[in-house]
Amino acid sequence: MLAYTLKRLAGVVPTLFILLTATFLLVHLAPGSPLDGDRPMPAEIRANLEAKYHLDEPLIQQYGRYLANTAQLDFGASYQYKDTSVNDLIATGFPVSLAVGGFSLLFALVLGIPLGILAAVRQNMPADYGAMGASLAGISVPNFVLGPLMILAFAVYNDWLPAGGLGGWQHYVMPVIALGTMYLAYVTRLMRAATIEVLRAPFIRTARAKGLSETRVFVVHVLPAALLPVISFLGPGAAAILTGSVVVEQIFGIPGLGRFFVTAALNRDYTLVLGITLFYGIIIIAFNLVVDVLYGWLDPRVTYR
Amino acid sequence: MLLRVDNLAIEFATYSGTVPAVRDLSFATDHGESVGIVGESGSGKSQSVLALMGLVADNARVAGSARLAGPDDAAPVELIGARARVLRRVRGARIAMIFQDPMTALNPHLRIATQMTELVRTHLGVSKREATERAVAMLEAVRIPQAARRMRAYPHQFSGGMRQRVMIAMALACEPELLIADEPTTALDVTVQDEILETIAELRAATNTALLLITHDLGVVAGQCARTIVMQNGQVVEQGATERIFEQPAATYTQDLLAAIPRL
Amino acid sequence: MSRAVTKQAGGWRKQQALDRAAAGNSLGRDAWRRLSANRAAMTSLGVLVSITLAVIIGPWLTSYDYFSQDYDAIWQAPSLATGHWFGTDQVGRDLFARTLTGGRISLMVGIVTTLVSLVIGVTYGAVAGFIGGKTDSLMMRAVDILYSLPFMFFVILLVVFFGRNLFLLFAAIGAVSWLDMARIVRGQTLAIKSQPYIEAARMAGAGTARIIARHVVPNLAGIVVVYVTLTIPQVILFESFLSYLGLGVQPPATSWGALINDGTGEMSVAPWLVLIPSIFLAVTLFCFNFIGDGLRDALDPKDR
Repeated sequence: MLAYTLKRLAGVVPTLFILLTATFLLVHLAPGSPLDGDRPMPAEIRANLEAKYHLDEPLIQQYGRYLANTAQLDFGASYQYKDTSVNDLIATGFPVSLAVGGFSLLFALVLGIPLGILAAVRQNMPADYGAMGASLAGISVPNFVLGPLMILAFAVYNDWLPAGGLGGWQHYVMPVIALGTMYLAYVTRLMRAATIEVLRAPFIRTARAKGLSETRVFVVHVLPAALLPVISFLGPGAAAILTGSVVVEQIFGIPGLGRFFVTAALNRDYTLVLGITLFYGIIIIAFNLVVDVLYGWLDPRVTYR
Repeated sequence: MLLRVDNLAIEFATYSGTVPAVRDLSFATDHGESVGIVGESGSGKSQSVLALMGLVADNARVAGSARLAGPDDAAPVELIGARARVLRRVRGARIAMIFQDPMTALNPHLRIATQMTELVRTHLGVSKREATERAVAMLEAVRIPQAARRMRAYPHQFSGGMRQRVMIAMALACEPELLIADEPTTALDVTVQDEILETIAELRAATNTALLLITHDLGVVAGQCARTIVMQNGQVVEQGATERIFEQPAATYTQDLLAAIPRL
Repeated sequence: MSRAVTKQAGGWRKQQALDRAAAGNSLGRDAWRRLSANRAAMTSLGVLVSITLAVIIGPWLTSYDYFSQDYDAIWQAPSLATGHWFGTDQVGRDLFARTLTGGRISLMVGIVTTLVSLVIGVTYGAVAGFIGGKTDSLMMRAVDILYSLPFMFFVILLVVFFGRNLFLLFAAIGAVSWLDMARIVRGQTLAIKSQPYIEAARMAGAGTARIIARHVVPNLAGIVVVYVTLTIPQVILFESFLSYLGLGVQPPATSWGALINDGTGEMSVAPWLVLIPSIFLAVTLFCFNFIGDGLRDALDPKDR
């Protein structure tokens, strides 16, 4: 188990390296200097800025500095908010995004797993068709459609929920549903398919032939095996939820990191866009690592391979 | 009489109508007896024994009767159409089963210890420690080296033959009166097949366990079973003492099967 | 008008080719029969064809274009009388024309980009699966690495650094959506390669080219078709997402995502501005997903 964890940890290194190199190259392949604003800049200010951002050094030296800074999780200063470091903005925005994203993932898992199981044990019965139709609809309705529709229904036409901003739990209801629905649909489908497959496995027949209660057969034999695909979906799922939070924060006016990111992208705030991309990249890689180790722990065959 | 099966019939409801799998199967076994059911794949032999355990697929319709003698001269238990609670007390405790493919019949996600002790604890109601001791003793009985240590292993850490030994240990852990072995050696290397059959025979002899051996291989039946049932297309072609069937096969199908055994 | 006709003719010819392909082997015909028995999938196919036709022909049917502003007719509700069948927006542009013209972009991005990802994914996956061994594990490791990168952020980074244009959008989305296809094609190639009938064909003296043409390609075709149907809605979603954020299609051009973005701002006064493009987008995605699911079941019926 320890060897497996270390191996996975070592596997992260090339991923991080590619993330860093790709972003660095992208920045330097981009047409024009990041300092080329809408207005021409006086020469001395430009030189000053170049020195500050080390744009006057040879490329390889800049790359080394970039690697060193990122290793220390120092993303530099924002071009747009002159006096604020990217780190400060991340520190302000990320907890908010984390709360919305975390609740959405929880929402998807807590509802999706039982729903998928229900559909599987009622395969080809009305409950199954209902759950599958609903989840296909869930996959087909993007968050930027669901969000505005919910605002119309629950905030504009009825005054049931706040349309945006952050505050009490009511503020989280619509964002979490908007962000979580698609993943709820995915989890339901995954869980259904996995449960159906496991229920057909010979080892389940063995478990029944042993005279175990149906409860024990399900909880001890079916559930752990059927949960594996959902566990491995957690990595990509979390990445997708972070991405989706960009839109949802926009719709509901939530002051999270995603909102900073879009504003930065629209204003071509290079360092902030780059910093957030790197930060999210690192978060996602770390999360994938945790999921991989968790998976290895749950599926003994993986660890010993 | 331990088990008496009368007019067992199984049909499957499919999209293209009902498909009969087994028709009018009747036989009986006594304590300690061994019966072989022989037939090609699709002859309904596996479905017949799964029906005894109540393990046929949901779309199966089972008719007929299978009565298991009650313990200590109590009234016999009807297995066909029995309630889940009744069946659970029979499965694993009074009738145990070994399946064809030991690679997939054991749960890959659970340690051998878990899979063995859960069975012992369910039926014998003993403490976890006693269950573990029983499991280790059974693993030793099927000659798994370093049994106590191997309890912590997962199925994929065993070879195919070893896994089938674990299956046997598990099946016999609660001293069932009847052991059903569904093609127990088909998926194994030829060199291991005899060892497995020997192990089964040895343990049965010690506990007077009856055996229902399903196979497509008449050669296996010859060495193991006193009586043989030959099945084809869901129907019994002939049944009787194994010796008699080998010497004077009545049905032409049996003659064909015998002719197919390679001679040395 | 003539353009519409040729486009339609192209579509019809493609359908004919599909029919021929389906009739060509019994597996295809079998799958087609199962698919046509799937009422949900067939309804979806019908709806999708209607939407496609509407998007192609629709803009010619109305006297309004998608960019002209009319300050005498702002925020008009959908109505047959005014000729603004889907109403107008805050500067008086006709939503019918905008929705259908935007649909052209959305569908085009979906199809063109899926083709890009199809070419990359199939080539990559088939090469990895065919060569196997070290090359395969190295190539798949690369895919794993790409999988664990935050794509959407990369695409946005790309758009920010290199400016916003449609061609870049095709390339960027195509470049990131081939991973699933590569994995699936590689898995399938590996499975096919080890089939006894390939060995049999080789023994019978068939060359590599013949084996690929006669055995590998037909066996890949099914799964590739399924994933193409499932990739198109993903890509459409991707584009809408970027356009919704204002990073995709740039005005005056528009797409469903951009229209939903515009409409969101006006939804308390003119809800149709967000409702109508949303319905078009969701129904299209729903139909593609339904057909993809139906195709998968039709080609691999063990689940039913």
